[in-house]
Amino acid sequence: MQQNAVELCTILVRDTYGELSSRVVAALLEYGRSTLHTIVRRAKIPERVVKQTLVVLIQQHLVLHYTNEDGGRDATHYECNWLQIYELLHSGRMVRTIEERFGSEAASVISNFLLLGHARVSDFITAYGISTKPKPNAVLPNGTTISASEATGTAPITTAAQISKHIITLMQAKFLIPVQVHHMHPSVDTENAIRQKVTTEQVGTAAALQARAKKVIDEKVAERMEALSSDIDNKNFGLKRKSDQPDGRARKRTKFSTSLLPEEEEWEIDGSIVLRVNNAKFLAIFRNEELVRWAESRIGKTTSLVYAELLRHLEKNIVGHRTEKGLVDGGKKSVVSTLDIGNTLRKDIDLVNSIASGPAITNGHKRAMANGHTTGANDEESEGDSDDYDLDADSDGDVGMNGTHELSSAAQEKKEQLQNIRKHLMLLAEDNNQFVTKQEGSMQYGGWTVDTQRLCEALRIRELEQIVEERFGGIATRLVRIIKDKGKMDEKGLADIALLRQKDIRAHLGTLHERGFLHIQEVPKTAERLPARTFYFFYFDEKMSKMAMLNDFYKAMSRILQRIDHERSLNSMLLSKADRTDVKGHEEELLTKKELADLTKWKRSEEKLIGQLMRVDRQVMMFRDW
Amino acid sequence: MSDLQGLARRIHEACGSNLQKLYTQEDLIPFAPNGDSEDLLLAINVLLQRGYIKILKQGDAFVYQFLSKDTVDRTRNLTPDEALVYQHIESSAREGVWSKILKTRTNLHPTVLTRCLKTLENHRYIKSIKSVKFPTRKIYMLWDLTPTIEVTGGPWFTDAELDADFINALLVAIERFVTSRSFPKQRPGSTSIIPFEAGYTGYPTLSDITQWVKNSNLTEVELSEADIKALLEVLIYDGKLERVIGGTAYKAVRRVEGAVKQGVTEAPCGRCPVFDLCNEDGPINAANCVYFEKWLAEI
Amino acid sequence: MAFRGGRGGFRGGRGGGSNGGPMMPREFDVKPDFGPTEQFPDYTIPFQDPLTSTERVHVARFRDHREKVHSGPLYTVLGKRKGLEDPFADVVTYSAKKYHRQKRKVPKLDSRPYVFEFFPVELWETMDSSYAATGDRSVVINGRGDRRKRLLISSLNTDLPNGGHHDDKSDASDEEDEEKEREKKSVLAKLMSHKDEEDDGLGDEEEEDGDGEDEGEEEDDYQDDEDGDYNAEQYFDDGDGDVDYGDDDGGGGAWFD
Repeated sequence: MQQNAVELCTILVRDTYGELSSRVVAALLEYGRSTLHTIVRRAKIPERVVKQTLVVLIQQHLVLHYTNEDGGRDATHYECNWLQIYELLHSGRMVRTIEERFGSEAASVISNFLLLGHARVSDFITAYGISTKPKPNAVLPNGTTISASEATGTAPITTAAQISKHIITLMQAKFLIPVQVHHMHPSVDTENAIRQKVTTEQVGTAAALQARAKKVIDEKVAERMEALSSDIDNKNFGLKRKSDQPDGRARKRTKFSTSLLPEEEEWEIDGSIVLRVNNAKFLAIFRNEELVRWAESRIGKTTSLVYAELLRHLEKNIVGHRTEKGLVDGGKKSVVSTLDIGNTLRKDIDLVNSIASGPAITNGHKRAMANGHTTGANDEESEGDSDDYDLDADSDGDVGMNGTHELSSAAQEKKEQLQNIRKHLMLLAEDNNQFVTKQEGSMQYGGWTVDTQRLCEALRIRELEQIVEERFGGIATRLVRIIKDKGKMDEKGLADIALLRQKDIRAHLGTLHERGFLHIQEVPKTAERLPARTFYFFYFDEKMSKMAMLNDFYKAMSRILQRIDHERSLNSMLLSKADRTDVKGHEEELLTKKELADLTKWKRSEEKLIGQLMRVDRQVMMFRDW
Repeated sequence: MSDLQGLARRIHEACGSNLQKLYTQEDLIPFAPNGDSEDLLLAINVLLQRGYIKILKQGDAFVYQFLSKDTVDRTRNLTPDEALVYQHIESSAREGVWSKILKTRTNLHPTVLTRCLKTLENHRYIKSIKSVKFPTRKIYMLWDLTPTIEVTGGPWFTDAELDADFINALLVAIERFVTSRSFPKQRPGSTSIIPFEAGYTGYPTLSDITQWVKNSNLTEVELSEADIKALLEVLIYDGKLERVIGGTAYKAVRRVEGAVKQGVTEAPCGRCPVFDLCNEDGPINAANCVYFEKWLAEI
Repeated sequence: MAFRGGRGGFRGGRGGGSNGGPMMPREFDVKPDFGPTEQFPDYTIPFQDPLTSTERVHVARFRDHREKVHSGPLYTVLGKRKGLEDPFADVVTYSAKKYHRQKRKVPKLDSRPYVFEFFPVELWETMDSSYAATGDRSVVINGRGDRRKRLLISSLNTDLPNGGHHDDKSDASDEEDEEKEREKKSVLAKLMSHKDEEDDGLGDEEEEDGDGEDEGEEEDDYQDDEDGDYNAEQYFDDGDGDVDYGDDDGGGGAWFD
């Protein structure tokens, strides 16, 4: 683990859970997997306090543990889950995401699960259900009305049924997932335990060929590890159909049910299961939001809205698993049809005036005819529904076609909407980044898939080039792109392609190399290895650049958090006064003008700094998680 | 004999007007009086002796190249050393010859060689040129020849120096041209750039762009499709253009103000000159950082 | 040494070139500069694109969430060592004791139900004192041996930082709104500057507190103000006074056993 990441995680834990937790985390991150006594020694904190702190950290999933039970004496090891610590940064955005999608009651459920780490459903609902206090400030303090859902959001959640309804929704959408014992253990230990078990099973049956046996074991281990995570992929995992409850255990289970989904059966939650927030699902959502922004900048706002709608349909099935390769959406590769999008897309989006049809504005008339059918796009259009295409091609004239088609206006409208949506999807498919892929098949108006892994690869490259451009300028970006494209290049070859003088690129290459964006291979011309008689080949290594950049990101984030601390300490007297219970809410009367101004300034500073932190976080996710 | 002189002059007058052309024996037969090839041969010999004609070998056949009277007069007045140097430079044609090679080939003493070169240069018989490949070498070629592309570096070079201003001007012009063809004209009242529909084929191709540059009076320099392609490559590497329609055409990358989100580079740390030295416990840290101070001042 | 020289010039020659760039052939364009330079050499500081309204909401929710953790039972602030208090800033006055938020030196654990099987056995006694006393696994097995324990639920603050608008004027008034939110920036800052002293702080606490509970640590905490220092509406009060632990967290009014 990179030193800068250790520093960042330590600061983050201190910022959220305070000094004790951060000391324990620091000890674990610095020295790796440790026993209780080692932590006590390294953190220089009494054992009783370390234990209390570990409970906090395990409850929040920031620390994993495993107890080795063979060999008579149990030894429990603790290990930091640093990626989960990093997730502390996402709390605000996660809550907001749910708020936007499911309203503030559901957001409140997520917020509480974040605060609790994990909780048994029955405990959670009981705690919620007890509250019948009406909330006095049902209207926002500043009197703004945002949207219907947000306005009602300030009303308290009162009934258990309502909460369980939200929990079921969030579970089905995989924002909440059941916690199993193995989630509390480092996956390495889980795998080892399975391996051990599989091995002992295997010994009895076939001890013949060791090499072969090992392979068989490996396969079985992989299979069982897979099985562990695939439970969660099941849409209704942790939920029970209301009708078929086994009567034996019904008594023990706290029953909360809902008829949330009219077309499906009613579901109830198994009250004994334990839930937590599924961070990976949120990562996938954040990723998709980034893809939409990208499509917007490349193609246009309207097309990006269509894309967002498509991704929303895909998101339903995303569970999200973090793997070494990045985020894997899990579940089957799903196809979204144009019809799906048409059913949910907001009707007030102007799909027509956001695309210009080619022939109307002909400046390429020389080739328009000749090349027309060489493009894949036109091929597909001409397959099944060529009449539709003719209609489209007339662009402005298609209103007049109503009569000839003899369709009811609603049906005609629908048809046009689908055709227009498809036009936007075609744009997305035709883009060099191939935001969507058209699926061959009989689906009416076409079906679409999204290759997020490939897209994120391209996204990373774009971001990297963007950073190079921002930091080192356009010439450096040109050089990096050439090297990425051509492989290993010497200064001369680079200058030739870049149409730049060698002496003009030398300094750029030097800086890029120094900052870890480019690497050099030396090939001596002679055996003496004289520097003057050596070829220097520059090359680009995405993995190394990524690491170098992440390292810089972590460091920059740490500095921002430290600066927030510094700014806070500069204002500590004021903040401690403003924090007093008698002052709170009466700042206008009790604080001086200067104090009020300083308070405002501090809040703006903090907002600016945290905002910046989140912008860097976006890049970290891009390079590390997606 | 006088007839022979006359014949020789006639041949030279007829063929000497085109010094680039190479003549075969057959080409000259029409000049033979009464089809007498004997006289013709004699006349050619006269021309050869006087240096008005050179024999070159083309494939298996011998061909003749005519030299202008000027050239002949020129060499006639040279000292033998100078003539030797001249001949070597002449044979290097448009490639030119490096002074060091000249020295080994002529085997002349350096001071003699220098003197010869000086005289020839003063008479404007030869010139020294700069080579892109070997900027430090002194290379000579005949005064009235233009160096080859290998020597000059092609259209991008002026005096063996890459002409950055020229290139940049072309890049900007081409980018503008491609951009103008990449998006539809904005509808009145609309501020956003909308895209052409999928399958649109009106994006400019390499030959479209080359043609446009030719007709645009941007430059006197003759630019081939390959030259324009090199420029387009650079624009692609700059992220300004991209290939479309299976790589056959070019399109400008849509760029919208503010659409590109920045992260670390707009934080003080993103471009900090002392980032590597910054350390919580060191003399440079987040608390005493003057950059943060200034950055935060802009609220 | 072209690179090294270049960096030296840029970085002011202060120990730059630790990893020595490769030797570059041919002419060197950058001359090394080994002269002394400023600690913070001048450079054009980047400008932050103003936060969008979306980003401002994210920041507001983030602050709010952090604030909730800070008000909760898990957040710890270590006190300063005796004798090292700032005579002006740290003077303990009546009003300070009455109105300042209580600070917890160790997390308060005994108030909520746990899923014991998710924790290693060696921590069980820390999580539940009745297990500590009796070693009775039944406490652990049914998970909810202690009926009085209840999860703490808080409501969500759904204020928007600027009412969805993005002009400066509304920003200013929104700052006021934010103030009215539970914006309680705590004493964390002090912590940051006193890292060295924490050990002793803990030592002290260990001495005065031997019973495994966190009673007695919160010396500041003798207010019984029902509204507490948090917004009482934020939490759902079951009104069930807890006899065992009421002493040490009654003042909070927020976290119930």
